[in-house]
Amino acid sequence: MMLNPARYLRRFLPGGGMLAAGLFIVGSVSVAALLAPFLAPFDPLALDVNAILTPPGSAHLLGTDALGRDVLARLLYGGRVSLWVGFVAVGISVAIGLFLGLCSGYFGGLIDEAIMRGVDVMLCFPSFFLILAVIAFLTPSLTNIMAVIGLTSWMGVARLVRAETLALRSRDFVLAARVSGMGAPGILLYHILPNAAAPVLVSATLGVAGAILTESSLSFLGLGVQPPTPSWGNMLMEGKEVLEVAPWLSIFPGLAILFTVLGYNLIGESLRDILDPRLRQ
Amino acid sequence: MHPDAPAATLLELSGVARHYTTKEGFFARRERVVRAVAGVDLTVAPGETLGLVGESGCGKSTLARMAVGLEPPSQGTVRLDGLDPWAGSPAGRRRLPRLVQMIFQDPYASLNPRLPIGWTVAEGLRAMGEGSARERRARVAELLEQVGLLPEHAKRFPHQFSGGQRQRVAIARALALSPALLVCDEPVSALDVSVQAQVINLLADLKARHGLAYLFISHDLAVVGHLSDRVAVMYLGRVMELAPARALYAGPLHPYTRALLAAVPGLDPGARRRAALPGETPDPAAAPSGCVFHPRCDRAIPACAEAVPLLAEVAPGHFARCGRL
Repeated sequence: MMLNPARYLRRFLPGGGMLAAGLFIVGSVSVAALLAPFLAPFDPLALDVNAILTPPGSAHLLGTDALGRDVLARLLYGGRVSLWVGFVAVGISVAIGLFLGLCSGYFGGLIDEAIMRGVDVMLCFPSFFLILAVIAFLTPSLTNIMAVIGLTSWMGVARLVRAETLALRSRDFVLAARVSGMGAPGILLYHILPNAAAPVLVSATLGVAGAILTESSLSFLGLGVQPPTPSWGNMLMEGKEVLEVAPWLSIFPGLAILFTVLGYNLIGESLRDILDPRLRQ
Repeated sequence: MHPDAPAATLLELSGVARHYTTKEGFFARRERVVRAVAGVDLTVAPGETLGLVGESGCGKSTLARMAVGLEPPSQGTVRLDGLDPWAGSPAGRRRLPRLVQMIFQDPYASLNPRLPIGWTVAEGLRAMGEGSARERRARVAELLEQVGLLPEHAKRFPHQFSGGQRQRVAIARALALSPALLVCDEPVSALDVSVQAQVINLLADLKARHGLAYLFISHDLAVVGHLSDRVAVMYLGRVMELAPARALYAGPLHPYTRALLAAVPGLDPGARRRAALPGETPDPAAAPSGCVFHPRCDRAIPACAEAVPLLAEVAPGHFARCGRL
């Protein structure tokens, strides 16, 4: 089990501070990635054979890599890739999880049984090795990575939504809707989905952090985003060759991953606290 | 039967029963059958109010849910204007929302907290595909006025209303499709006493104005007596006594009804009789033999534990299920 730094920090930060810290980190990383073309001092792909492995300094703020490319520029552009993968993968997994969870919880019976056994089967695979195996068959393009991460991480959302739906479908306002002649699609859309959204939001926020980590791990193993396109994961991979002479190549992408994941976890954990009525006074 | 009531029946429950099966035990799986409703025959005529009273757990709410087609009966049939909600074509079942609507006990649970009340009131119209958006808004305004709210309340959310106002919203929703029958499941028992009378008066006004029929469920005999034409008394999923309201209150025949009426507190504390109901309601999964009421009955004789009494017509229109009458 991986240590969750957000859980650890929670002991020292009050709820509001946690949320603010998370929003600040995620906000600044997102803005930096979005504005990469304006903020980056160099072209992230431009080679400079006269400045190979320059340590951080005035010319290159975070130094250069083995091909003389500016680390800061690559970090900013790599952030676009990592965040984009995180959002799209979570979007896919939430869409699948919501649909299956709603159907499973509302219709019950055979449909529920089939979907939940499907969830069990998917959970049987060690997810990272499943992703590795699938990627090994497909070409490791950005689209494939996002799709595979999304398609292998919807089970938690499906279970969560199913549980919420089960609790909501016997509530009086849902019964009243049925008496009014409202069909299943209307009830799911207007009554169940809005009332089940809060825990899904928490799970999605934490999911973004997980997807960014998965993408970094895949890229680190060379099965993710392919060079020369920078991503935080493949920057780490390139950095490990020269770790002893140029540690900045590993330190900065590592810190970027750490803070981004921490930021999303902080937001997710504090949203969970805020939205959990049992923890509210 | 109500003297003015037409011969036709709007709601007809014949031999309706509802069983719930629960599995118990980890190693030796035993099935426990809870008979929440155990064979009920009741009718409601158009424009009539049938009161249904009984202690909590006697199957009143289960009966209500079967009467509106939310739950299928395990045995027997439910017919609304001749329509069986659990048989026939889906097209036929689309008539159901125009025949029967329901008002729930807790107005805090029966309104979706995330939708403005105007949406909730218009829900049936939207579900039935009735009217344009503008026509629906006009109908919502009209309905809100009918229940004593203001048209501009349509944009507000449930948490901005008091319990009594929320119940008015729920009533407006139930009226939207102009149903012939309203099933009211303890519609005032979650409200403050001061508000209860207002809501009951509103229900009485609406009945007079629209010729509505009610199946009015409550554990409160005073409330039921005020509104009902006929009253049925339920105990452990069975109807024990059924009579015109006046006859039932003036001369209750069944020992259970007598005990219930004796327990109603009067205005004069000195005149209050002692409640004549010893013990607890039995577990519906292990109903007593013979007459289910015999362990708590002050008139029980040994034969009561053996013979199952039938609901017999003791006086014209006055039915009771007691072997000693």
